[in-house]
Amino acid sequence: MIRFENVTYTYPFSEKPAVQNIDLHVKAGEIVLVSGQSGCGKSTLMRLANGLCPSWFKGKLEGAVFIENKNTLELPLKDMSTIVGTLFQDPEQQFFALGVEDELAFVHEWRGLPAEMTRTKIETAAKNFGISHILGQSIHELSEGQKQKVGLASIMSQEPKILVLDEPTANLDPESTLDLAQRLLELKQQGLAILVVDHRLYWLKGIADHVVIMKNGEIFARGDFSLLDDEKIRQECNLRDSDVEDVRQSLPDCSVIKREDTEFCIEDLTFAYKGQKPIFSHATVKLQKGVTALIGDNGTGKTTLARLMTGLNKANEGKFFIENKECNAKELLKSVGIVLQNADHQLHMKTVEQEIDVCLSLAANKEEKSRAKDILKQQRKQEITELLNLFGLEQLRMRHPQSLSGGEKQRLVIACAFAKKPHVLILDEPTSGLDGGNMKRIAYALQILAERGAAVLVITHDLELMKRSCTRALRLPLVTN
Amino acid sequence: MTLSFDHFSAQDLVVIGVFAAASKVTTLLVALAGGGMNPISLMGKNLIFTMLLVVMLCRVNKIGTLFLFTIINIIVSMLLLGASVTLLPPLLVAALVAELAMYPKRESESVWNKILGAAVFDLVSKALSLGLSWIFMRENPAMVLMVIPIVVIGYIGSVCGLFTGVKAVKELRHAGIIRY
Amino acid sequence: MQALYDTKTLDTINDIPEIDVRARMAVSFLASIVTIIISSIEGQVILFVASFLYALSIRRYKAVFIAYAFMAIMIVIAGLFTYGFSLLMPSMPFSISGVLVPFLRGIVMLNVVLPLALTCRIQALLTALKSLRLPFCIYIPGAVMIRFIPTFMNDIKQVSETLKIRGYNLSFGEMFRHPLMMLRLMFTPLLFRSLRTSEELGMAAELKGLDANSRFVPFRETAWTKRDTILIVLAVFVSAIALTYHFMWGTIPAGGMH
Repeated sequence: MIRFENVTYTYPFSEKPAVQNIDLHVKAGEIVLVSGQSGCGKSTLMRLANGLCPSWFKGKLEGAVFIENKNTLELPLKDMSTIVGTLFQDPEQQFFALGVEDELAFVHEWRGLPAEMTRTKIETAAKNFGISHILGQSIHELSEGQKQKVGLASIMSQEPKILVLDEPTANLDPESTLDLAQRLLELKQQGLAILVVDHRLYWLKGIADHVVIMKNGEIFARGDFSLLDDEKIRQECNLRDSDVEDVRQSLPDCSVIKREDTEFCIEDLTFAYKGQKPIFSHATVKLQKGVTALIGDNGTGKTTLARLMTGLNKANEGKFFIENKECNAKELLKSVGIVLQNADHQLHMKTVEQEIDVCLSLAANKEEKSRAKDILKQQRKQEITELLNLFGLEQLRMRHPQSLSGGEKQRLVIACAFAKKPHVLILDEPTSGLDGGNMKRIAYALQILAERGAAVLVITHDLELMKRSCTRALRLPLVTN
Repeated sequence: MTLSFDHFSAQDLVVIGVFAAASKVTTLLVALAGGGMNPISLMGKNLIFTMLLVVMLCRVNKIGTLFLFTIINIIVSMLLLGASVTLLPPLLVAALVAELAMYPKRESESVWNKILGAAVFDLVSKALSLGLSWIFMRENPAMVLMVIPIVVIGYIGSVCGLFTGVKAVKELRHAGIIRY
Repeated sequence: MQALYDTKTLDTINDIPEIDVRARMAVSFLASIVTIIISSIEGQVILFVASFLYALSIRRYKAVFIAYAFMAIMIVIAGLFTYGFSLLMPSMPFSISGVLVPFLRGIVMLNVVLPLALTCRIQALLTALKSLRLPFCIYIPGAVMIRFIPTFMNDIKQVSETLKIRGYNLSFGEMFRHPLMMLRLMFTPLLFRSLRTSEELGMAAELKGLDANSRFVPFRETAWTKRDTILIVLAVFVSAIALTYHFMWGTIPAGGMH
């Protein structure tokens, strides 16, 4: 189905090939998993398989890629798109419509299919993926898992023979991840050739037939899934674990923390969005120094709690305490930091250095600001260097923040939040889409912050991060007193 | 110059749509945040619009981009905000004149060609909108005089937008997002 | 009073007469042209009455009221300005009738665009756009634009919240003092996001096999009904009356230019 024959590919404006000497074969009814650290060339591999390289990205292709025995160089993208379906990491980014039903119809409408046939295709796809009940919804109301299903349903309604998935689990919770695994298994049994590129590995155990590990643009190792059990290979290629323990149930709960030991505490919290049922009603939230996981299903109010804690939303009732001192919304905003999911939204300046510098000067108190200018400058410089070192960003000091890779951006945003020296730091999915190496780096950074005496609250689906760094869990829905 | 848009790829069309959305949202929000008529928000929204226009013209380096962008903007504004159809002729004429001004060197990689296009577009559309308000208020010329400072302040914002546009393109090159 | 809370009544209240968006656009187009041509008070009054009824027909009284309140503020400001100006320059005398025609013109425009703006949910907007049967090269960017307006609105909200958390002061005074810095903070992320989004969506478009030769067949037809035709006929009728009245018996305000 997909065949790479000694493929070397170089992007335009680049001298070094992105991938080299690749031989790969994905047969019908087979799932091949490709992994490797960020920048190893696995995304390029995916783009070669769906024709984006070189049709779209241009660049130079040596060797040959065959799709159903046809050379991709001789196949226009439009024709390839009927054979290969591609699902991106963030399916929302590939939606053209605002409603689920319209999105499913979109491609068929533009392929000139009669209305009746389009309707049948939508109905079948919706039934197969169990999304009939959300057909009337807007894409903005969907959970990540549902978005993924809509994306997949849309692709499968075009009846491709090959499926390419780019980090499909990066934004999914563990349940949706297992659900996806089950779907892929079914599709494989229907005879599809499936190529999965992902950092998360455990979910494909028993499902992937073949594993390919890439390093520096070349295939480093290949074999069956047990290859990933080799600790040495995982270490060398910065991979995540092949087997992951789910600690969500076993982490000790925050409710047992003694009141006087809390770093952060909310008493008698009540909150409801206008005209809706209350999400929290007379609840207590207690956080200790250290790293705590915020656990709860979709819709239990994880984001809302984070917003209340930072003072972005105002509670209907409730008293907030930091180090047992009561504080108002303004003080909250000052001493609680938050790192949102989308790093792009949090980078504004021209260089990495400036980005941190601005955060430091915003966080500086009056006493610091009153120091002589040159002393201040000297001190600032030192602080910036320290932070850059801590997050392994010193080489990137003068780079444009928006030109960094996903993992680097994420580290920079966390560094910026560190600059504020918060008592409480909340992080929303800090490791989604990151490779093993970057995930460990972030886990380490959280550790350091915790050692410095802060309460760190992590909203995450990443079981590996949870296992590695969280010592407690704050579980939603909160128990009402 | 023909009115056929066949030379646009799906990618180009998407870029035009995304930038149309970005410019609509930002100008709308700046206007709302400033309460609509204060000079800072008047300038601000024009500045951002022109800046985005310059970046878009660099990104889709093809004849007809500005014209297509204008058509889309008009249609969606009409549907979404119920913007008046009378805005149509000045903007379309401005876009056409700007396309003509850029035509000789349109597909070169120079930013200055795009700046020229954006500048002509701003100038012509502002001038024509003044003309339009005269038609609307011809029974009472004093009211037209009231519109003049509003248009002029907006235009100053547009001119600033040309400079920020050049700066933005430079920064995007530094970030490796625009390659030439 | 009880009847108002009866669900059945509520349903009928919410049952806005469904008019095709193409018909609404045609009405808006026609009204704009006629209101520009007519410069007599009588003609404008006829247009105003008809368009006001049309605006009320969508039964969003509160929204119409708010729009009118805004319009009233603008009218008062403009009226005061014109009056002040007439004191400074006697060659441009102030007359109620002279201000009335431009104001009526503005209100007529408002009346015909309100039904378009208020009945169109953003999700239904795409269907409306489809029904216009635009060519591929106009439909795709238009659809993308509509698709991303809510996304970008949300993005800007997120950006401003991040700024707040970082400790920036986003007050109006600060915006006045450092306008360029504020613009940079608010809109740099959006600029980069736009570029990245268009890159990704462009790829998606290619992978969906879209190109300019695509032939479009909507799976849901928006049907043109008798009601739409009636609306257009009515609009033409009213325009004809207003124009006739204007040219036969219209009083042109003094001091105007024609």
